Amino acid sequence: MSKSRIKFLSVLLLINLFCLQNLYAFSPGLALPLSPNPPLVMPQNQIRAYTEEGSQLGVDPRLSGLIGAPISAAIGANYQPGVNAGTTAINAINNGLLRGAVSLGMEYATQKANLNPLLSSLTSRAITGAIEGALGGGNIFQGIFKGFTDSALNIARLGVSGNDAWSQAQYLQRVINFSDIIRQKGLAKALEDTATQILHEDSISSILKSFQTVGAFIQDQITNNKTTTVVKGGKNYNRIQLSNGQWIDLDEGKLNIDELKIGNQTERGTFGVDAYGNFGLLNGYKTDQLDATHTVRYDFAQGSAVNIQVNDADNRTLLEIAPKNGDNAIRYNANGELESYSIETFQSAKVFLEVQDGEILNYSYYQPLDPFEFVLPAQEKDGFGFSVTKNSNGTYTTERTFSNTFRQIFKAGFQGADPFTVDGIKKAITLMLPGQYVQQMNLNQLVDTAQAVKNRYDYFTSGGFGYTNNEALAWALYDTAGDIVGFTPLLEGIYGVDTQSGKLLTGGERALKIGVGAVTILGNVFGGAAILHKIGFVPKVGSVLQDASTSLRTINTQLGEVGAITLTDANFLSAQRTVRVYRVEGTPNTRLILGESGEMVIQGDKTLFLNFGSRARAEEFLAQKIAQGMPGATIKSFEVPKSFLDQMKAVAVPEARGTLNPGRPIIVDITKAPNQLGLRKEQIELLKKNIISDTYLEQ
Amino acid sequence: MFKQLTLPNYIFERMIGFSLPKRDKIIVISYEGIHELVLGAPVMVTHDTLHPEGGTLYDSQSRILSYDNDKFKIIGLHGGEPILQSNTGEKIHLDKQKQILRIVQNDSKVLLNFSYEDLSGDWNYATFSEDFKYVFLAIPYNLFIFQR
Repeated sequence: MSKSRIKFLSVLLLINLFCLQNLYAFSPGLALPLSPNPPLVMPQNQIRAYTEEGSQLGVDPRLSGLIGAPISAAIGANYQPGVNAGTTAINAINNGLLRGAVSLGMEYATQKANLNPLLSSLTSRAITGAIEGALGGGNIFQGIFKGFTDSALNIARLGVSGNDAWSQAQYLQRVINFSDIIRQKGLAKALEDTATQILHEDSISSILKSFQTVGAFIQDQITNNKTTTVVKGGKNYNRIQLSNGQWIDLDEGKLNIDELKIGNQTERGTFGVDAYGNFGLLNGYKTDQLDATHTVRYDFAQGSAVNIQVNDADNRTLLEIAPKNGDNAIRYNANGELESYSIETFQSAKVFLEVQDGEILNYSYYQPLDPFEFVLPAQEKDGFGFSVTKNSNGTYTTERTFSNTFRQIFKAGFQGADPFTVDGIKKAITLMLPGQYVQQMNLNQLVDTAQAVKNRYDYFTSGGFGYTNNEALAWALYDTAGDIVGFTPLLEGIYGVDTQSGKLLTGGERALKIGVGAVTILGNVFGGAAILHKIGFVPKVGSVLQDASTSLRTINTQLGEVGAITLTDANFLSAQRTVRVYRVEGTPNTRLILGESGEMVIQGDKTLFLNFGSRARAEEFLAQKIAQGMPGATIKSFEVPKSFLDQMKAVAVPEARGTLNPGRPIIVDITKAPNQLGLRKEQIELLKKNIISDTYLEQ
Repeated sequence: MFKQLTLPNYIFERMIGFSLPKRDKIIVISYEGIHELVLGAPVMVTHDTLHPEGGTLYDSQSRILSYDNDKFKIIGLHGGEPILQSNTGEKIHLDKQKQILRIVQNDSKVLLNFSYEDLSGDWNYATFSEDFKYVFLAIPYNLFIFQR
């Protein structure tokens, strides 16, 4: 199968600052105030200001314009000028993004871009989606919007938001069908009055060489039967041939325009003229040459775009923009930015993005592993992917689809190679992704990718996940494959957790992860991205998954089944992910009891020693205490959000410094097990609020 | 030879330190309080839970506990000065890796060979008492006392 590599699009999703406040709502301990009714779009003048600041700092103005972030804030607490961090980060962003989304995603995923110093400021604006139209170097979304407004009788051409259905209806009330104008004025006069809108200057010049007016030329065509007959769909039409292969097709009675072929554009349907004298399509379609190798087709209904397809030179559809589910038209705002719509791609991987008023409703990705999957029977189809869906309560739920390779590793491990080595990771990635991904990776990237797998494996086996070693390895490989494809950064950003370390991400980090992920996904689908112009639309991820703990518990592990299986997304649930907390105690040192209401109660406020996550260590302790004759020795346990543990670890001090820091948790037994903490009175109070109901166990 | 004294089956959950005996009495500081152990058969323990971690009575810098009108030098979390050799040349060998305590005479005769399980790993000390009558092995979760 020939694969035309298409220079195309990237999406850079930036969430706006106010959206970030929603994200913060799910990050305990972060202190941004919440805004109940966040405005969605940053004023253009602010974006401009940021662009200038970004330029002064050396960030490519196309980038900073896209991001619209307060780059000046980078000189604040999170950014240390003078230690090369800024230069490194800026260069990484510029070079990485301009070099192509694929490599940026790779570098970001493997922590080589050194982006951290700028994260909190550079991306503190929020997700923006921006599909860059680099088809042949052009800007496809600006081009598409212009093509739409040039031809459709839509209020957007007057600079009014295309979301304003009422205004569009009012506008249409004052649109006169061109057939009525022809009846009123006659064909010649009607065409003459709109000639400058319909015809190119070269055609008009050519006509005026022989006729005094365009109307006279048209009249001559009609009166002297100079039109030629063309048949379309079994019906005859009268074609007025213009210069350079252009034409106007009239219906059989010559009382209406059926089709125009002007330059590279073809328009066919019902035409009209609005109250401002603008000629355009009410219903019908338009095709145009987008660039040297790509064409676009618009379908219009009542002056609104109802479908837009971009096709390649072989007339294969690359992507399709359509109304979002429930809408009857693609909605633009007054700035020509797509606001409510869906985009579907039809390359080797399938991407579907649905946005409403700038917010992502659905974002899904599916990568078949066989390029000829479409001819395979259902039971032989194999691939992987993910989906993000906005719930009715504003939260998001994700699902991931796993390939057979993943399922095999999940059950039996990865055979024949050490996936933490370059050779091993090459084999693993080759099995999990289409071959071109590995071919694009250099040695350093492979080394870093292997390390990323190791980091994740260590994290997933560190307790709290309940994975077997094989399961942890499968997840580590899968998430790392997702780095390369782009969906892992995207999902990490949405869920607010780094799956290599379990670290909770700041709002800025989340925004950048989402942006990088989204860019990478589409960049990969379209064979790389040569980003960046300011684009089109501004989707945001509003709030973040809340039902995560439920999802974690309902994780579907039916990995032995045939076909694509979806699991809820355990690896990204860190903010809500739980960790089981163990304590071995007996009658003399009882601190945990079951209260009258059935909930666990903590007695006393002296330092409370807890073991976060290690069942094996708890059993060791129990064995020792039983051997020593401790009366009533038992293991008691309960669950807390992992974020609570992270908070405790973040402020804990070594035990020897505990006396001097009586208000801080202490870390103990560090050579024996991780996450062994002594909580002080203050943290015990916080713990009480974080104990997850109905998780208390005694055994 | 040394024999291990039997201690009550629970004294503390996690120890911060202990003192060398004075008049057969030692003091243990834990996160629960101050524990007074009178060495004998059996060992008697009195718990003072008003002073968890020694409270203001314990100065972790000097490792001195001022308690019961007396001052006790504490060995444990914040360091200490164990007595590793007796007046007759007996030496304490504490292998923290293998978790073995040995008391060896000058002529290399092993007077005590004691294996223990250290579930903490943070600190451990073994020391003679000042009168060399006792040997103490202390780790955060356990205290072992041996008497001649």
